[in-house]
Amino acid sequence: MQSLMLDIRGLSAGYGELEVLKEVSISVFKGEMVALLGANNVGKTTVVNCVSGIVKPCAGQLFFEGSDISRLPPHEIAARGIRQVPEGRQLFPRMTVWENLWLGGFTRAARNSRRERAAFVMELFPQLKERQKQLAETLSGGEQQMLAIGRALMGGPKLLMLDEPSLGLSPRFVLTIFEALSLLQSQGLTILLVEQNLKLALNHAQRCYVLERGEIAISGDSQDMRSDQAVRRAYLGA
Amino acid sequence: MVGSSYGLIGLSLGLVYSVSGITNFSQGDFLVLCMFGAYSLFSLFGLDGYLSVFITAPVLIVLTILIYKYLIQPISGQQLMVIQLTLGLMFIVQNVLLMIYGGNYQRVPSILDTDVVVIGDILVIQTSLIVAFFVTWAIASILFLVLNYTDFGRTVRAVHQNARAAALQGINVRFTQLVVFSMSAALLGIAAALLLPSKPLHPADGLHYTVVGLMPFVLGGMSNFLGILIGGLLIGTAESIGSFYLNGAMGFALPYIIFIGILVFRPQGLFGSR
Repeated sequence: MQSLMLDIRGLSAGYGELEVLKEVSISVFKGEMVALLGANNVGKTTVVNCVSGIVKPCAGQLFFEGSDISRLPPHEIAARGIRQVPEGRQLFPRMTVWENLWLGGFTRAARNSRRERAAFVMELFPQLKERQKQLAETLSGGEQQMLAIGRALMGGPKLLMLDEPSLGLSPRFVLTIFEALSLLQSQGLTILLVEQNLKLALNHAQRCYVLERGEIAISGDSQDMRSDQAVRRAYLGA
Repeated sequence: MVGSSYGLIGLSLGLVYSVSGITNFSQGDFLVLCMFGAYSLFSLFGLDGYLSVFITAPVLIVLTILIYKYLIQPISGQQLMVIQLTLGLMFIVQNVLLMIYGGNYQRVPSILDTDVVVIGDILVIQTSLIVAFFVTWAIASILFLVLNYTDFGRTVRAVHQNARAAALQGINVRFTQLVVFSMSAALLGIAAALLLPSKPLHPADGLHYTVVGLMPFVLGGMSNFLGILIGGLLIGTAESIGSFYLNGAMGFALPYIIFIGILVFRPQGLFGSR
């Protein structure tokens, strides 16, 4: 029996007057990769930001490993083992690669193993090791994405959420990153992937949810969804 | 020379701004509050102006934390409200001081009061200004070391460069901000002690010090600390030259002219980016 790691129940959220999510429910079990799909601006990032504590839900609940995290501030959620690799990477631009990674290991729990984790990350992404002393803003898009992921990994997360990691990257980098993600998953990491790239998501994630107009329109095993016309319509449609 | 202390005020503004985007328009009034605190300590206990910083600075730090935590941080999302709040504080502090101390000028004597240092035949400089100069640059050096080589310093820079990303790494942004605000208050308290000797003190001085701190702050590019210090020297020098060659109220016009002049050609300040 798989254990439920992330339990999003009836999540409704928005920005001011604008209601973006309407009673969204998503489950992520330990050790799997789940993809959240949908067209542009449909609310996928809002889901992830609610889990991270950046956006406060209007209604619904968020459970992580059985505990209610709905009202916790972002730094406490990060401390509990949920890490987000934000859309657009959001690095610390005028700090070196090394400093960015070091800050990823800020939390008390992560501090003790900073050196080991940094070594692990730099083995996973050798380009980061090469460019240790370079400022983050001087890296290429793909390298920045690797740094963003590496930084999140420095926190020793139990759940890693990635928001559109393939956006704007060349196929070579996308391949590298997803190979790394598969490796991490095989080592026990649970992953929630927000992706626009339907093919990537269906190829790597075990289960998918499709968000359409603020609600979960379709969900199921990736295998089943590959041939499902409804998925394609929801994706390419309005 | 007095510009280095102005630079300190600018730094205190810069610290707050870099980590929260807030500009405190009542900064100068809190400086004056500190000075009056020193004055009271002197008239009650005979405590020397410089030594009193060990009492006035911590008090200011506590006051700053309370104000930011309970008044400012809760509304920090609304720029306009924050500006209004700091302007309101300006009036409150000024009037409280007027009520307590009256509208006359006061002096706080210190051991260095009218000491001067004579260099050769040409230069006569007030000792207090030399002290201020060295203290300011010592503090700046410490600040530089802390920001660039300590874990905490990196945390502050992270919050400055990308607060949201910092929060995602587990950094408690609010708490970091409060610590930086405390540092800002400490700098302000020290600036108060440095500016105190031989200057007549009046409750309405606050605005002058706010302005004189804002100018280096903006000239330096608001987040560039070295730039702010240099801006301070510039403004201080302009003020000295201005009051030497022009009389009375016109004397202070020179810093303003230079300030506006620089901004016209380089809106981002001498050292700012963007």
